[in-house]
Order: sequence, then C-alpha cells, then structure tokens
Amino acid sequence: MGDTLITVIAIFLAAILMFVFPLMALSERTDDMAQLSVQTATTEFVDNVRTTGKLNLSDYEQFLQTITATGNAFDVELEIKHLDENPGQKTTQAEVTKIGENIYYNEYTSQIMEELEDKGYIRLKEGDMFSTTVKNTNTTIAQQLRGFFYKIAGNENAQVAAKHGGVVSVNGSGN
Amino acid sequence: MKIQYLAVIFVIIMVPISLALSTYIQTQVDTIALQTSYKSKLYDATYDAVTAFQINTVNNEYSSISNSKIRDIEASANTFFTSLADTMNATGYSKETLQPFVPALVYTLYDGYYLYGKYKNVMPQQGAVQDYDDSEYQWGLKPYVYYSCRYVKGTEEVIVNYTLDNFITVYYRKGSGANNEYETRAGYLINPDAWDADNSKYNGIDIKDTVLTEELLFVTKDSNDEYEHGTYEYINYQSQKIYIESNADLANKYGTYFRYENYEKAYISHNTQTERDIENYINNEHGQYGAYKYFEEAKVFSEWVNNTLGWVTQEYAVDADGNPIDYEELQGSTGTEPIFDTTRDTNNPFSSNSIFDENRRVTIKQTIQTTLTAAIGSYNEYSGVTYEFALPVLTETDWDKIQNHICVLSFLQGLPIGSKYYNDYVILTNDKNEEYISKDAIYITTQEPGSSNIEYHQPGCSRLIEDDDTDSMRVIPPDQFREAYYNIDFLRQTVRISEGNYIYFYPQAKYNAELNRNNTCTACYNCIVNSSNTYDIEDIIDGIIEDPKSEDGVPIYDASDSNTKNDKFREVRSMYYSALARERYYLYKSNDYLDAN
Repeated sequence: MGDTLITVIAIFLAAILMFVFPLMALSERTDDMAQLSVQTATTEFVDNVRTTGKLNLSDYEQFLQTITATGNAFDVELEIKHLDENPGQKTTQAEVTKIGENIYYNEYTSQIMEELEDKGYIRLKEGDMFSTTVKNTNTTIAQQLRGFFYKIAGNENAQVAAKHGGVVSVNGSGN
Repeated sequence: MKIQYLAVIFVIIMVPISLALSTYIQTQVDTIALQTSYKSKLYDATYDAVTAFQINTVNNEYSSISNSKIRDIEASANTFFTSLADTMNATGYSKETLQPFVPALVYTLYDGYYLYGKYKNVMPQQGAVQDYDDSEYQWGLKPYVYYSCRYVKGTEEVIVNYTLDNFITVYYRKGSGANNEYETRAGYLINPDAWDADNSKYNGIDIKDTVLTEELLFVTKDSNDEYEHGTYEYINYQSQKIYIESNADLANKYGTYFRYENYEKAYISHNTQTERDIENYINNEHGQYGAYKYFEEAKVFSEWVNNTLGWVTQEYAVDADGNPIDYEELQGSTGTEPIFDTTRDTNNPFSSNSIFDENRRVTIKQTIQTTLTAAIGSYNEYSGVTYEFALPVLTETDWDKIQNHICVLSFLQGLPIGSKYYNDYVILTNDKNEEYISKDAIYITTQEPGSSNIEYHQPGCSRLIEDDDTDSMRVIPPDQFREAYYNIDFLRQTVRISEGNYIYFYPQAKYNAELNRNNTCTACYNCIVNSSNTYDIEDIIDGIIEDPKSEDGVPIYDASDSNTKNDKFREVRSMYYSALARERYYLYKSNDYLDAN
C-alpha cells in the first residue's frame, strides 16, 4: 500500500521534473531572448529617429514586425515632446538678463499615428524628445506556467517590456 | 531500475545543462545591454562635442579664421573625451584610460576635414624651444585634409578642391617643361547661361538685394543704468560684419563704421585707409549686398571653368600615386560624362542630381575613406592596447550625412564587453555653425501690421506657400513677408559681463519704429516648433511641389506656371535664393583670395 503511494508520488514528481521543469526553464529562456531582442529593437528604432530627426511610417512598421516576430503581442506607446523656445524669446529688452525658459508640449501615440498614417513621416527638430515604451499584452508560456504554481496580483506584470528615449540631435528638415 | 533513479539521473543531466544555458544567455544579455549603454554614451558624448562646437562658433566673432577654428575644434574634442569619461566613470574608465580606445575623431567641415587622434610630433632640431619629447606620442589635430581630386590628361593636369556646396578651387597646369602655364582660381560653379544680369534673374528667379540690419547689445550702460542696445545696418566686408553708426553725433566723433568686438563698438577712425576702403566698397555698384554679386562673379568663374575644364571626366581621375580611381567600387560612377560642363540641363550644380554633385560626393567619400582607413589601420602600431583597430563599414545613409553637412564622426573600439569587444561609431550632423550655409539654413520672416512680433519660418512652410486657410492653419499674405536671414541670426547670443553674469539678446529682435520699442522674434508653430507641416527644401530649389499623396506626379505648385496661385511660391523662392546667395557669398572661405585674378 505504502509502496504504491510512493510510486504514485514518484510518478507525479517525475512528471513535473521531466516535463514541467524543462518546459519552464525553456520558456523562461525564450522570454529572455524575446526581452533582449525587443530591447535592442526599441533602442535601435528610437536612436534612428534621434539621429535622423525623422520618424518614418516604414521604419515604425519594420520595428513592429521585429518585435512581433518574438511571438508575442505588444502594446506600443510613442511620445514626442516638441521643444518650444518661443516663451523665452518673448522676453522684452527690459528683462534682458533673464534666461529664456523652454517649455515642451507633447504628442502621444494616437496623435502621432494619425499624422504618420496621413503623411508617412513626421519631422522633428534639434532639441525635441522622443520616447517609446513597449509592453507585451499576451500571456507568455512562462507566465502561464508560473501562474500554475503561484500568482502575482495586478495588471502591470508585463514579462517582455522595453523603454527607450532621448533628445533628437539633428533637424529632420535637411536631406 | 526504479523510476526514482530515472528521475535522479534525469535531474543530474538536466540541471547542469539548464545552469550552463542560463549562464550563457545571461552573459549574452549583459553583453548586449552593455553594448547598448556604451552606444548611448558614445552618442551623448558626440552630441556634447557637436553642441560645444556650435556654442563656440556661434558666440565667436572670428570663428571662421583658421587658428580660431582649430581652437574651437580642440575644445570640442576635449568636451567629447570629458563627457565620455564622465558617463563611463561608474564603470571605472577615466579620460586617460579611455582615450586609446578612440582611434579617431573626425570633424568634417566645409572644404575638408580634421582628424583628432594620436600622433608623433617631431620638431626640427634647430630653433624653437622643445617642451616635449620627440619620441612620445601626443593627442591633437592632424593636418587638414581637403576634399580634392586630381585629373590628368596628356600635358594638362588639374586638381579640384570640392566643398559641401558648389564652391570649388581649381589648380590648373598646362604644357610641359619650360612651357608650363599655371592658373589657380576659386569660385561658385553655376550654369553661366542661366544668369541674366540685366534683369537680375537666375533661371527666371528674381534675385533681390536687401539692406541688412540687426540688433546688438553692449556691455556699456546708458544714463538710465541699462545696458545699451540698438538696431544697426551692416555690410559684410571681407567676411566681417561692419556696422554703420546711426547716431550722427557719435558718427562724427568716433567714426561712421564700427565692428562689434568684445561686446563693444570698435570704431574705425575717420580718415584711415580702412574707412576709405569700406567707403569705396559700399559705393561700388551692388557692392555691399551679396546676392547680385554672387551670381555675377559665379558666372565669370563658371565660364572659365566650362572653357578650361570641359575635357574633365572620371576617366582622367587619379589618386596620389597616379593610379586610376575605381569609381565602380565607390558606387559613384558617371562614366565619360563631362563633370564641369554646367550649361547642360543634366548638370545644374545647385541640384543634387547633377553630374557635378555626384562627383563632389564621391570625392568626399573617397578622400575620407582613404585617409581614415590608413589612419585607423596605422593606429594599431602605437595604440597601446591589444585590440586590432579597423575602419567599420559606413552605410550609405551615413555617407549622405557626411557629404551634405558639417559632421562629427566618433569611433570607439576595443572596450571589452562580456563575451566580445565593443566596436561602433556615431555620426552627428551640425547645422548651426558659421562654416557652411546648408540648403535648409535660411529662415524667412513675416510680420503682421501693427504687431510687435516677428515670426520666422522655413522656406517650405505651408503658411507661406498656400493660399487658403484650413481648420488648423492660417496662411500669411505676401505683403507680410519681410526678410530672409541665415538661421544663426535667430539664435540667442550671449554677452559676458563677468564670470557668472551674462546677458542675452536675439539679433533679429529689431527696433520697431512705429511702436517705439523692440520687436520680439518667435518661431512659427507650423514649420519650426512642430516642423511637420512643411514642403521639402529640394522642392523649393527645383521650383515644383508635387502632392505626396497623388501618384501621377501632378504638381500642386509650379513656379514656372504663371497662374496666380503660384505667386506666393515664386516670392518665397526669390527671397530664398537671394538670401542663400548672399549668405554664401559672405561666407569666409580660406581659398577665396584665389578669385582675385
């Protein structure tokens, strides 16, 4: 009787060891690789915009293709901060000792996408800021398996996520 | 065997495999993360170098003079290394330990480029005091390299120095032995037949000269204890701005003309040779304004070039050793097309599709590639680190930047990052400087009647060109068009009173006589602050704007079409071409004096 119980437990353990454990290890590695390629793609995409001063629809679609090739679905958020020096330039001669104050105004994904689909590109200028945030929206196998053993509460638990941004360094109006 | 044993054996096999795999992947992840972080550090440092160069040239009244230029570039290189070391400090690299990993820092300028790197400076035995050891290497700028190409055919030989635009310097030799004839000339290459001097038209575009004015701020104070300022008319004389004193009392007392030096008026005294020279220069017809003179002089030069160098094609191009240049490999072959025959339609030097421009670009690529390969290759002999340095392959987009802009090009190679060595480069363009007037560096100003605000626009701004208002855009009628200036004139200028005490002004925020106070000067929200709503600058140059959405290529604006809807477009082109010609005419060029004969 005791022997049978041990055998059942052993089979059960063996099944976990021989099936779930390697699967988990493997799926975790897959997510690592996905994370790596998404991070690299995001950095490349953003840096390309920063060094050319232009955000192209074709570049954006290429970027989407690269990240979805990891087998996950993504939520991509774009943000442009346009530098506006005008308030500083309006200082009158009497206040000439005052340093101009720069402000930024923002455009977000929906506005950017509307403009991008309309014209095919967006020009940026030196001093603008551009950033991209990427999060996976599906549940990866590693997340499912982990959910089998323990649960993490909350929605903000994207497994594959990347973020990059920075100042645009050239005027996109040049050729 | 019991099933438990199987499980144990399985674990014994699987755990090490899993561990090894995860360590391996972790190393790869770390490597790439480090690579990305180094790339952004290199990028930031290069951007700092560009900014330092911009700030120094914009606020330096003599920035075009070559020793001042060297100083600005050395300061910029210093900024690069300091910035790189600052961001890398956490990883344990200091400036001294980092320097060997930068085989070259390249500053491509208007007519050539500087390479900042390690070299052995050998001083002649006699003469000056030697404050360093001949056998030691030091860091600094290597000699300037021009973008030049040599063409040889029989007894004729010519060396052409190209630049970022249509300005060239020609060193020409004909005959052999005692019959050698030499000629050296420099100037802008245009289509000489397109310039109509009587009507002041180039290719049908009105070329108009304007009176130039700008606002100045001085360190001296007036009776109200405020810093003096004023709007003055100026002329460009020998690539320097000479201002005309508007106050008659001061003009009588000190001088009619002054230079803006050390934030003060430096008067040119009455009855001096300089004053007489300036007066002669102004009284000369079309003398003080550059636009007309630009085309007038370019026509003479271009006619000479067309006659003398009509034979030059790529077949005759040779390198320093006299071997033919392989244009196929450089991807810039124009075959047997004459390079300097600019009267043909296919060869308008202003256009970036011309044979001349193709050769200009390929020469820039060839000179930089040859020198840089050699410089980075030979760096291995004295780099002081074990890494094998080599020039990475630059993409066509990168070459495009170098061929059309002032750039800073930085290399960082050989830093160990996990499983491999870091090897990357960054190219950044620099559009705010006094080295070169790029095509998109001209702004057009507009002012509404009664307003104290001047607005500046890119030439391709849709508010300037279009006729009808839309929901999001209000067009500007042509009677509100004012002037066109170089974009540096719209940047904030700094006046240094003392350390830590600075005052600022905008040269284009000029005095408004109607309102008896100074205008403010702001950027257009349609084309500069948010630069999305503009037409391409190449369209403005070519005179045809095509609708990007239609595929049949029907132009929406065509300057050669007399329809009234194109009137504003023609006016913008006229202002743009006149200002571009004027600013380019006044640009300091080291070979300009060669044009004297």
